[in-house]
Amino acid sequence: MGKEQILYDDGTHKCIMFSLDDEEVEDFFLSVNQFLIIQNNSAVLIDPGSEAVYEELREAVSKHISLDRIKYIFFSHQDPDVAASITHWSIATQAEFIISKLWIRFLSHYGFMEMSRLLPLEDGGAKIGFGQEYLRFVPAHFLHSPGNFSLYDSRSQILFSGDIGAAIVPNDTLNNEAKSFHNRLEYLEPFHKRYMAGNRACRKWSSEVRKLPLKAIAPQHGAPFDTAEDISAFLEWFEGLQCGMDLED
Amino acid sequence: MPKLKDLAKLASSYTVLIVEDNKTLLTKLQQFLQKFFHTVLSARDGREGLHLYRQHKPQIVITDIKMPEMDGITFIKKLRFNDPEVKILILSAFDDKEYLYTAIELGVFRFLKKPLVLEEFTQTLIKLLELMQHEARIQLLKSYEGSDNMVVVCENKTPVLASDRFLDFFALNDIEEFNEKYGDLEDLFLKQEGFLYSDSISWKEKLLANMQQSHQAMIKDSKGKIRHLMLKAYPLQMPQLSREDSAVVLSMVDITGLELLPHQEKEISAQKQQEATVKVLNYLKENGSEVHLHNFYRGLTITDKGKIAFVSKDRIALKTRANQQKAIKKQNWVVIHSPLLPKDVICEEVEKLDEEKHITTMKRYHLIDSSPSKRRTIRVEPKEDMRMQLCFNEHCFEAEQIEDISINSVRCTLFALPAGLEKGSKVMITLQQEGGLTLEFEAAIFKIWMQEMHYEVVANYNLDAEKEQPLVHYISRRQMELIREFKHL
Repeated sequence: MGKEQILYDDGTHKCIMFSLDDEEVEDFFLSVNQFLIIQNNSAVLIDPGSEAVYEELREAVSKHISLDRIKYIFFSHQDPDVAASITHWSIATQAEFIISKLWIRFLSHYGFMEMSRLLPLEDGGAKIGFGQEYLRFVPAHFLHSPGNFSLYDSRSQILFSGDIGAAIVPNDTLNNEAKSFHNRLEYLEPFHKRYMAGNRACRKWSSEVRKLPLKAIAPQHGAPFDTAEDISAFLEWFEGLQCGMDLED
Repeated sequence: MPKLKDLAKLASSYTVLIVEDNKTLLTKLQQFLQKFFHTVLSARDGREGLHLYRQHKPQIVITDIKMPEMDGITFIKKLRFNDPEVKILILSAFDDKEYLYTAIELGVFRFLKKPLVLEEFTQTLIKLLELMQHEARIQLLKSYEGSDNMVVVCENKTPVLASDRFLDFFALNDIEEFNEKYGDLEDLFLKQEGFLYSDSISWKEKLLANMQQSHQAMIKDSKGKIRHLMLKAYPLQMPQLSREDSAVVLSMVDITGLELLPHQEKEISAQKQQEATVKVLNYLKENGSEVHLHNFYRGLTITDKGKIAFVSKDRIALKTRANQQKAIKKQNWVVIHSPLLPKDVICEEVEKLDEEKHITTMKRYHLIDSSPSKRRTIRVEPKEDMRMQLCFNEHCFEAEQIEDISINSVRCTLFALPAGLEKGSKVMITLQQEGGLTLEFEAAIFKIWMQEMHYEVVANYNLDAEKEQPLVHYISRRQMELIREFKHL
């Protein structure tokens, strides 16, 4: 998989996926995705990752839009591979930061004190409108973080799902063999079974997501699900998944 | 058959108590009501019913009349003695007039005759629940009486109830007249960029997506005059009301007198501005609106949201989280920023600090022109091991101290200035940290002012990515150090 992929572009609205970070998992490296949504002349950055990827991501983003045009930076949850670079981004941009209200008090541990730049998300989520279109923060609690959100972009109809749908797959296996849902299943299953809290949470999220017109589901690890068959197969699998506490005695 | 869906929607947050000695009927009623109500309680006579009522305080009671131990009429009398508001339905085979009159005297909602007709029963419940919702809304409106606010309750974005102040504003008698004249609120708001209704976003979307935030709006009153309002939406969260997520309360206050509308731009006297400030601060307090609070710690901005707990002409009390309160205590001042204030407000001298309630009372406050809220980038005071040299026309001067630094500006003190240095002069700056960051770049002098023994200089610069990256890293690390230091104060 290339380090940058345009997921959507209609001239005024653009969604870009970067795959810049590598996490070491057992005996291989796992790619971490970051996303950028550009609407006219302002942008939303999604899950920018850790400090290790800051420089590369900054450069990659700058090729598309000036950093001072980043209006919001959204963290699906509090994990370091999602949010640890908050200090760097708070220095380099004037953006506001969107994250579940559960994690606000933790952010000073990442070195961030400008609390008035935070937009804490209530459990029920929120919506930001632009013209007739909107970005919607879809609750995804306990999948895996207890304060967790996916982000739906109504214009591109892409759901940025964070860790949901993440394939723990070696970088060199990405794209070709592991792109279709069925080929990807073996890389999805172990992660989701261990990290997701339980089937009730999976069903709740899936039923919300099924209400949205979807062109793609883009997770934080692995390629997006971008065909109707794959989206449908993934949702069907996910809402039936026995995981987390379901598997405990 | 009345719509069972309607019943489900209306009843889902209520508790109902059934008191009936006929076991078969009791079970049937229980099974039916459980489909719609949040909780269904059942008792076999008045005595048991009274016990359950005291424990659970249901909002609706359905009772038979003839029962062992305690009959229905005695049961209702005892209920009424303690709770004049509880809604009561009687189910009885006895329909003589004596019972009927007693039921009316006791404020029973309906007297239903056995055998029960399900359709009639459902319809009666729907009517009762609608009445209860209406009463709850009126109660809500009453809670706003006496304040300056105009209040309107909207369901599915359509106004259903309004306060007298709201109706007076439009010179109307009731909400039906309002709906007839205006359809919904859509045509009411005048377009103004930065206000609730602008070209870029639908006002409804903006309002609903930003519940509990204050917005500015322009509106025409009954005489066609443009008025300036502050407006806020609250989700309707009352236990008596069904879980209708689209029900909201809009609360508005007319602030046209503040002369803040764009077309009203003119010189406002200091006294008028102070009066306006008190009025806006009061509005923010009454509506529980959030404001931004700004402090510094060694160059680093410490900000958080807060609320105004109290305000008078010469005192203000602010509620905020512990870290911000600590910063206020340390600095003995705090700056309030709100898009609804004409300028930022500085509050000075801590009078009282309640650490348990997180409320800080300040002795005085006034508007300011220059404010820390205008800072666009994060600044930090560097460590003592950072040195700075400023060169102009081949003359170099060592900075006595670097006050603070960001990715695009540095503020320092110098004992002497190179000859001819002035605002706009191009200079070379070298930053050097022992065993760490070394940077050399061009900058432009933005500000010079003379203090008693030295000069303070601000220089701005625009770094390329290669030079900016190490500076971002440095500031980020320094910020972490300062945060640790601040937390241990």
